[in-house]
Amino acid sequence: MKARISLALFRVPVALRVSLALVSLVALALGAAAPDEWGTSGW
Amino acid sequence: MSGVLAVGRPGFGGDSVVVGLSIFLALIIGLIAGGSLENLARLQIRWWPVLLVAVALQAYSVGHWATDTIGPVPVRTGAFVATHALILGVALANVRLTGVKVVVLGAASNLVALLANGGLMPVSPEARVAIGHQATVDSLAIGSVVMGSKGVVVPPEQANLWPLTDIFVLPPPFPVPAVCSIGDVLVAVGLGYLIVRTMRSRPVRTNGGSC
Repeated sequence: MKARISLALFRVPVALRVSLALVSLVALALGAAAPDEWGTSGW
Repeated sequence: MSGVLAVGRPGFGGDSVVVGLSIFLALIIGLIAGGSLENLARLQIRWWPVLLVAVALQAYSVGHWATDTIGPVPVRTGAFVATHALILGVALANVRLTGVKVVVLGAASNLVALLANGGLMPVSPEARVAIGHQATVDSLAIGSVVMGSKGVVVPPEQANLWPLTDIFVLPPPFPVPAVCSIGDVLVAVGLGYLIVRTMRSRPVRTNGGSC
């Protein structure tokens, strides 16, 4: 039980860091590619 | 470039979805290749808060092309180019990461194309027709800036640095028909490679001073 709680506590920051990495990668992709249609499907 | 504004339909689409799709595909490939999502936790992207602010400003500036709340077209395109340069700076700060050199090349290519065309990305009417936007293309004059888009309708012969502009057509039955630039492709490839390599990387293990 103690081991499970420790594992869960370990995984929370891991999940946050993974999420942060993914958000940053998506932001870098969107920003660098400067996509069309921010907020519209335009055209 | 006349600065005429045309109104688009609400909702997301186009190459923003294509870019997101490339990241999603990279995650799937990484998992199939035996990688782990947890390994992405080791990915330390420098200046990431700047990145988020720049992208938010970019979305705001482009998303409000058709309103008068953020100034005339030259101010808006200037703000857009400035945020793009900021994002290129963040990419340069992370050039040590695998694949980011390719992302830098792509972002620089897009920035050069934007600078050469007054802060807008030329796209030909034919390319837009090819992805199924015949009706809206018919209603646009040459040189029209489209609301919520960085694009400007320009025939290839009138575009500066045409090879760097939006020329790659992803027509139907591609799930998200779009027109991309070589810079967009490089950004997608570079980030995809970074994601797959990071997911497949092995943690650095220490001996714990055992010898």
